[in-house]
Amino acid sequence: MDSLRKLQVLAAEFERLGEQGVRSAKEMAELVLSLQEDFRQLTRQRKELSSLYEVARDLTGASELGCLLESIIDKALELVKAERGFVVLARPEGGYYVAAARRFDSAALDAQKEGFSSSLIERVLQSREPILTTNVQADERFELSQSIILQDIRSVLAVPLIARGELLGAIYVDTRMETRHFSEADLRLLQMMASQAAMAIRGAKLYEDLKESNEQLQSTLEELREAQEQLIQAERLAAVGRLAASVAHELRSPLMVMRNSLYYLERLVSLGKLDNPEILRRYFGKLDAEIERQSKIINDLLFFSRNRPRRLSDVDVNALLEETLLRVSMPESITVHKELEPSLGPLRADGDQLQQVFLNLITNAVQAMPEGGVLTLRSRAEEGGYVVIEVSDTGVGIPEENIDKLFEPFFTTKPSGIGLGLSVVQSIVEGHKGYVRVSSTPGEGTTFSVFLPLQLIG
Amino acid sequence: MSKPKILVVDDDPGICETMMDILMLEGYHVQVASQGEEAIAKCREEKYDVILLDIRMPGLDGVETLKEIKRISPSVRVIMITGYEVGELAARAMEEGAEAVFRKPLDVATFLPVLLASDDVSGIFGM
Repeated sequence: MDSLRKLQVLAAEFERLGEQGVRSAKEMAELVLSLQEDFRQLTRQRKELSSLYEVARDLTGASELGCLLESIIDKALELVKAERGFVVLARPEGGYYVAAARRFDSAALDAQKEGFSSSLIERVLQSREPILTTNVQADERFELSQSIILQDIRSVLAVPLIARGELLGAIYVDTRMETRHFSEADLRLLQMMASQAAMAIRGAKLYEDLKESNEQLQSTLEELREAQEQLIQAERLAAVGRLAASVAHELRSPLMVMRNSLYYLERLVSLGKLDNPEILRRYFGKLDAEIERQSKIINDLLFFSRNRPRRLSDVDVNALLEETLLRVSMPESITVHKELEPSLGPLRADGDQLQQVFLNLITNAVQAMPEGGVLTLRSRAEEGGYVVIEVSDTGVGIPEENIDKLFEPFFTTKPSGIGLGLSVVQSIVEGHKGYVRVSSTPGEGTTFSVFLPLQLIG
Repeated sequence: MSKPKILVVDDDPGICETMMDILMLEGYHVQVASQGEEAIAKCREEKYDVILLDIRMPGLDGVETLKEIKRISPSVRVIMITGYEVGELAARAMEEGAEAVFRKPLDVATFLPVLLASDDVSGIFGM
């Protein structure tokens, strides 16, 4: 009869008492006693439930497996008021190991495995059923193993740890006190706790697996990064090798022209044929142009090898363009056309760097017109505070697929040239907070436009 | 013995021009070409004794040009000039029948005797 029903009976009895006036006091006393017992039971159940709830709450809080197992054995001892205990976990490769112990010597536990645990823990693990014994010494299931006799164990509780059908291990607790024997209620309590604990262990294991695979991923990533570093280093070395080869090639051609020129002039002298000043003038011009060509290669290279701070001054852009033009050896087949804005004010810039920009653009334009053509230089002020300098040729033009690569270092379509010219142009112009635009039509020609801000800040 | 007819092939106009001046001063018949294709076209029209060929040029490279020239005119003497370290290209050029490979900058004083040699003077020079 549940408590509510009993109360109802009691209420009915009172009613009848009122009606009949007489009732057996003995019956009433029995009912009251029975009610008291019910309340005690309810109170105990409530206490058990609340301690189970606490265990569940504590266990879900721990995510590190070691801490969790320590916590599990502590809670188990507390819950069933056991004296000693341990948790075993199954190994993935088979067998099991003591994962946490209280008032047990772990080393001794491992040593005792054969005699003690094989008779009890293994039974729990194999059958997946709990074991409760109130008198171990008399329990024939344990065949009186050495440890049981020696340690004088009185009462044992062992429950399997099962989560989602997977056997994870077992909890073992015992007591040697005469006064404390485990009950069926203790068993139920420990079983309920074990199912919570098993879920928590499973979670912690998943978490550790995740952590491990994450660490593996991390180290794989590290290896990849290292390999990538090595690749970059190798690529850098290869680039240096290519650069050295193309610099050597670039310097050897002008050197050959110079050596040829000297040989020719010397030969003319020794043959007594140096009677035409035109030849001398032509050869001096040639030597000068070759020196200029080599010095430009060296300047481009130096620009990349060291970061010289900008030396700012007020630059007359038109004058600088004219001056640069004089430094370029201009084939007779090329006509130079100038559209320079005379009212252009001075520009705050690094004159040497700007001259390098103009020199590289004009040299490119000349090389783009091997059959001759028109080279146009323009300067103008543009709204928004920019000075625009344009260098146009009527040469071969640039195929569309190459436009994007033009400013990449070492990109070149010319058999001669190290591919630094436009890269230098862009670096210098961007260093002046400006930008470069290019428009080209294959077969018709190319225009490079350099936009430089009048107000250079910084 | 009449002086040989020479074709100078290089994409650098300065090299073509100075080689032409030097060789003409020595009494050679000299023509120039700035590209491999142009050199091959000239070989089809004219019979040269010696071709001075740059190993790397735009378009058809020196070794490819050499193969084609040797196909058109197997007896022509071809002397290669390279601006690079002598490596695989120079070795290939020798395999394809080049008589010699010179590195830039060419020392004309060494080069002219090779040119004048009646027998083949095979080798790699200026390294």
